[in-house]
Amino acid sequence: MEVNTISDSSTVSNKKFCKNECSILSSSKNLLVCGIEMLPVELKENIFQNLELEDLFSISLVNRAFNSIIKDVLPLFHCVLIKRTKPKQLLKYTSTPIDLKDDDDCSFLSEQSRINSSSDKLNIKNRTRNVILEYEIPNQHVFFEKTNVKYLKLLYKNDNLFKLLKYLQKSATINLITLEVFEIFLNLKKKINFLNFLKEHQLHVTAFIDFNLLDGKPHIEYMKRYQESIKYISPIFENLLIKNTFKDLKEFSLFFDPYHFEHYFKILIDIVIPNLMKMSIESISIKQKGRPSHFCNFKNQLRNKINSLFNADPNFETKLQMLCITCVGSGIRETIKFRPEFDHYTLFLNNGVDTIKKEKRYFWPLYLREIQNFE
Amino acid sequence: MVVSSKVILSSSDAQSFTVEKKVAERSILLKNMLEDIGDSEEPIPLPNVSGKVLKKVIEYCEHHKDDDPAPAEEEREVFDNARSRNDEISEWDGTFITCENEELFEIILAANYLDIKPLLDLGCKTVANMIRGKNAEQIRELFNIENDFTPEEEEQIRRENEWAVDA
Repeated sequence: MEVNTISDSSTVSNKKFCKNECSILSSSKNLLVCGIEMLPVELKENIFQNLELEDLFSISLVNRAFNSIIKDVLPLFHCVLIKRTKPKQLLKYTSTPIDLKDDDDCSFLSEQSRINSSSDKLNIKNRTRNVILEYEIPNQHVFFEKTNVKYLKLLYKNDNLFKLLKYLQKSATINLITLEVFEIFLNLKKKINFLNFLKEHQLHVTAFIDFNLLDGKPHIEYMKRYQESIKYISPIFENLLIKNTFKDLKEFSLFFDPYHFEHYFKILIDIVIPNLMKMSIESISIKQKGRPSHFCNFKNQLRNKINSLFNADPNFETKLQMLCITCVGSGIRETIKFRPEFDHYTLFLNNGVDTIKKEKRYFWPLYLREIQNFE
Repeated sequence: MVVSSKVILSSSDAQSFTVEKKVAERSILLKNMLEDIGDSEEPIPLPNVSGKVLKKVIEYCEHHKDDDPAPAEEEREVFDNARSRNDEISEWDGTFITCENEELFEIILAANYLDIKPLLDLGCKTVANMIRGKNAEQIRELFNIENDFTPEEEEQIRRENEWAVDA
């Protein structure tokens, strides 16, 4: 490295730098007072994401400016808060009495749920189950792992889960919840319409059917749980469809594992997709993990079903413009584009790359996602 | 200016630094600039970076010039996620970043402006390490900050934070 002094600043004449110069000069005052409070928000976030919750509280107490920093980075703060907070702390935060006991009953679950879970009731009570809640923040993905579903239930039981959701509403999108939690939300006994709540607070939700906690291995317990899950899935779909849950949705996507594909195929092909095609949905995306042969089977059955819909009713109309099915892993993707104005659809086949890698980091058997437009 | 793979960088206080192109390209900003302008006799002005800080930044880039190239934009997220889980700071980096607070923040801003992500992360981690485990009063001392809260305001914030204590 050679160092010289340029005496004539006019040598800086290349016009290509002019635009940069303007923005640089406008922010050059940052160099005059250089401290943490002068850093842009994204740099503060970068610093704070290395810190513990207690450190953030300490910062908030330093002075007004630092307190404001914490407010500036509130979305991140929420994430750190949840990520680094122990269940007991969170319960305390939400003013929930800590009444976690081994013999805590599951009365707040629906009758069906209790029946289904009675065989492993002990497990439900004593085993810490993994819940993954993914909160999306612009440019950030923070995963919350190994959260005890039991305390989520307690939060719900005390109506504090909604407080938590409200607390997160400005900053987070809740993407994944377990079947149990989803089932709780759908529980009519509580007379709470979770989807309305989401709509009201502009939260987007992904309902996540979690019956597999066994690393995706298809052994006996998995099979048993699978059988139980089938009891859940169909009523949930039907419930959602009957209630016009998808009425205002424009986009629908689903991720599923086809270990037992025929059951899912049947539900999807016979119930879900035809119903969605009659609604306002404009785009359906189905991503399937599994072998290409499964995918081809699904694709063919789906194509036949769609053909039959159009053949059975020449005036069949749909607002659906695109149906994209992807075989995750193999990279096979097929897009069906609908051209309602011509009363037919065209089929586009392509063998693209696996585009879901970044989205799915875990193995999940079924993943139901409502993406947007709770208008 | 590019002369046999050399680039001249000009700081805000009119100091010029001749560095290898490879070193300069640790900065995504400079890399893009060099791609845009091609070979040029002009020094590249960096009016947002003082000579003192630019010298430090170049020192860092020279030491890391043989590291893996900076990831493309679309790979950045994966790269960042992987790196963010690694809290370790190498011995050389630790020694390099040991400096006065003012200089440290200037390096962070320069790294941000020049888009040198590893240096930015190093700076941010260092600041985080300085803060970690300290109470409010210690942080005030660290950054020479005056407490402008009234006792009532401070008490109010403590009450708001109370839920996290002793859980």
